[in-house]
Amino acid sequence: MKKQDLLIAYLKELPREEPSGNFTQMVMNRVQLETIKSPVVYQSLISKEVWLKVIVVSGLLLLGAVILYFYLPGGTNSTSYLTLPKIDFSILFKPFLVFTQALNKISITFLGVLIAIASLLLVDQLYTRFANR
Amino acid sequence: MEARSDSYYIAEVLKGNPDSYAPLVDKYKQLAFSLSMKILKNREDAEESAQDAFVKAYKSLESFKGGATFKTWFFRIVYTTAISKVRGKQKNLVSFEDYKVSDNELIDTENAVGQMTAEERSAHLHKAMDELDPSERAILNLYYFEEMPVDDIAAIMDLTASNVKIKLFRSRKRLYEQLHGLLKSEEALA
Repeated sequence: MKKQDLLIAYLKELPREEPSGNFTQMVMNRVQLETIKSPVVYQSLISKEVWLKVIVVSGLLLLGAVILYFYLPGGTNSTSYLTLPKIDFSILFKPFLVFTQALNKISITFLGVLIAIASLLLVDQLYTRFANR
Repeated sequence: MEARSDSYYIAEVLKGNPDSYAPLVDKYKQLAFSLSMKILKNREDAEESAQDAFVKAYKSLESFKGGATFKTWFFRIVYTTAISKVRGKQKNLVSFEDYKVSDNELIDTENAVGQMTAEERSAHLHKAMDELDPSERAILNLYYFEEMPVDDIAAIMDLTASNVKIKLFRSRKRLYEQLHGLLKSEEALA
């Protein structure tokens, strides 16, 4: 017999270790405990799916407003009050200018809706966090 | 009672019937305990570790996708649970001397072990196994006792198949070396 076969034979002679007689019962007791103590899950008022849809729709609306702004006549006219004789600093602020001008074009009602959604999101997140403590 | 497949019991547990977990515990408890025992070398620790593994598997049963067999997936949990337990106790372990022996000495050792009675051989093999690293004991147990294929052992121990083969070869050699050392120390005492 080869060396490896002999070793296998010797190893297989070793008696098998058996767990205690009530092993299954012990495990099942712990499993039952796990089942009972499964934590109460607090669900947020508005599901994640709905929030995702709201965020996507709001984002699209905002994007649409910004794009529309550039297509409206005179929409890209920027004021030159930030221009110095030699250095034009307005380039640094252009993104903010564009943004604030885009916001000016958006109706107050739409802004109100956006703020309301953001507030709801914040309240919902805070509620979920405190409820799960 | 009619024996059903593992996937049947898993589906039942996932449907909200925890009692269906008991047949799986019954089926794998011996293997789980045996592997834990080989790694931890202590009955109480092995029993606790095997139970922990069953509870962990129960809690994460939803994550079992069925890509591997339940046995392989579960044994990975048994192995990692026992190994993390043994690492926690590593500072209490005594390191043993390594015996480097020639092929001729290994043959002598093999002959000496072959001439022993089954009881003596069992006692010596147990002692020699105890001197190996936990992962070496685990790999020898999975391959020789449980007769698991190399690929399954690789999945359980998070190794490649070729690494398993190398580790098997080294573990076997180390076992012989430990046996040799054991016999040598007995000769010195006699």
